[in-house]
Amino acid sequence: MSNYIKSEFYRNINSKSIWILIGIFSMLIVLMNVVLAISNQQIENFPYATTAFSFGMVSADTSSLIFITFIIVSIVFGDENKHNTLKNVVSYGITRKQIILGKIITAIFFSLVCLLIVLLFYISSAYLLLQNSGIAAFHVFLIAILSSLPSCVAVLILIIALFLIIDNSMTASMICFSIIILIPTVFSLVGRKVEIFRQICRWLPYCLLKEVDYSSINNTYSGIWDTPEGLARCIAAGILWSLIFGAFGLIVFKKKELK
Amino acid sequence: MREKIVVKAMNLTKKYKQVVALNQVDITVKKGDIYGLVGNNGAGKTTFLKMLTGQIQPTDGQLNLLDAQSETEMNHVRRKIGAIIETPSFYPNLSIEKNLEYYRIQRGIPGKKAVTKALEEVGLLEVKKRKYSALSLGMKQRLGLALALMGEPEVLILDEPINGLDPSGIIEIRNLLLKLNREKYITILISSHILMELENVASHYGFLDKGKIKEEISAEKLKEKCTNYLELKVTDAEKYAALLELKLNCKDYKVLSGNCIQIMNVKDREENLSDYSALAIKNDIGLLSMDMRKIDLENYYMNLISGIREER
Repeated sequence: MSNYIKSEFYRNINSKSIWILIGIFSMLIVLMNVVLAISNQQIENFPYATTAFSFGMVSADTSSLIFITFIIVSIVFGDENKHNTLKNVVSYGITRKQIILGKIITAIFFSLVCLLIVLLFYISSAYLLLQNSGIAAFHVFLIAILSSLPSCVAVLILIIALFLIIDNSMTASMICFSIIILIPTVFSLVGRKVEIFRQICRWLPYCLLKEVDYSSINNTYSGIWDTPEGLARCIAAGILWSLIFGAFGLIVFKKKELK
Repeated sequence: MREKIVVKAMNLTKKYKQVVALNQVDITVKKGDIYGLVGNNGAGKTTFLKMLTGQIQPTDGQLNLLDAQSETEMNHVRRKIGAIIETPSFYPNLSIEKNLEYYRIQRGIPGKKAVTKALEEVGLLEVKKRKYSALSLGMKQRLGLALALMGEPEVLILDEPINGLDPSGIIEIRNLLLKLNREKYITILISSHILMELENVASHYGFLDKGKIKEEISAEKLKEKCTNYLELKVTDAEKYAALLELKLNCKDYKVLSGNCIQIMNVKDREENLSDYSALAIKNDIGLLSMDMRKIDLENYYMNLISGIREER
């Protein structure tokens, strides 16, 4: 499997799409800080040009990381079925298990590289352009990001599994979107009235990352990561769904007939 | 010495719900053979080749590849095969060279020279920096061949390898395959619609029709069977056929539609031919045309298939 992972690394390093995506995400997130800094110069007593506000924007909704994961993985790894390249891999005796695991490992690595580069731009631009509000907001921001990673890995595994199993990438994206976002949103709405749905939501990645409260008194966000129980739930849910999605992908992909 | 069997299919069956793509197929390919798989669209050629490359699994029967039987063993020996199944597939945004380098790393083939060597063999070295998406169909086919050849395989599985190639490309690839077979003793399993081309390379043939193997035959035996025949068009084929049997004691003939008769194993000599024309003229049967023909692979296949259909 190591050769397969090496080859996937080679392909991704030589593929422009991942670097273009990193560039776009970095530009957008730096742009947010630039807008805050410009607004501070243009508007008198502008209260939001602080690192606390900037970091808080991300901490308040780490579910956006799921969208970013979806975009990265579907663009970088979603073209295998479209180009029928897997037949070249299988015909050389590389097993489907090796393919799916190799893809997951490579995708996790490149997604983390992408995240690190984007965060580097984001954090440095925040400290360079905005008023430093102290370490507390940054601390919350880091915990929020780290606690969302297990859920993002689970989502990544689902996307890879679906893109390997379903030939049509649009259909795969739609099913993926439904499983990751649509179903949890519906469950969350129904959960307001029906307790069982509320309980299920407590273990769904998208709903977990939406569990954030804002305190206007001290201008801080508190999410599921704030308590040890919540943090443990984030990790456990991430592992649980990673195993479920991974096993599902493996079982179905093993039976799939490649074009 | 017993010849080593490279591919052996026994009662191999593949079903897709109600459709039987392969029906109890038996195929044997020996080491050093160039085995031509002949069949119409939907005959089951690609299905069989896909089973060999692990893209699909058989519903029933047994498939051995280089003595491997179980899926794990098969995956292991697949490292010794090179394959092109249907159209070649590569990453469109990577160059020719990077596409091959990707597979070289994946297959653990040592040395970047393997890529250069494979590209040189198929005549793509000069355009190695060109993106795959910018290639013509013929170039894509050559790149597919380069991938199949990289790493010096023991067996080549080629599904329509000359699709999209220009005439000089076809000759180049044909010569390359013959060279690989003769010099490196590589076994080649090849399917093609262009039967004339198969005739130039194959040492053995397997004829597939509607998922069934109709005949396996060596090129030598096929040559013996591919005899000359005389095709006559007359005004009354039934009467002529009766006279053929009665007067010339000839039983090896076929009556086709449109008052056409094919007389097999006719020697191409003037005195022979005059007997057949005289038979028509003396018995008041109009002789519209008379052609001496030779059965080639195409005719042989068509006769085999039509014969089978008539039997049904």
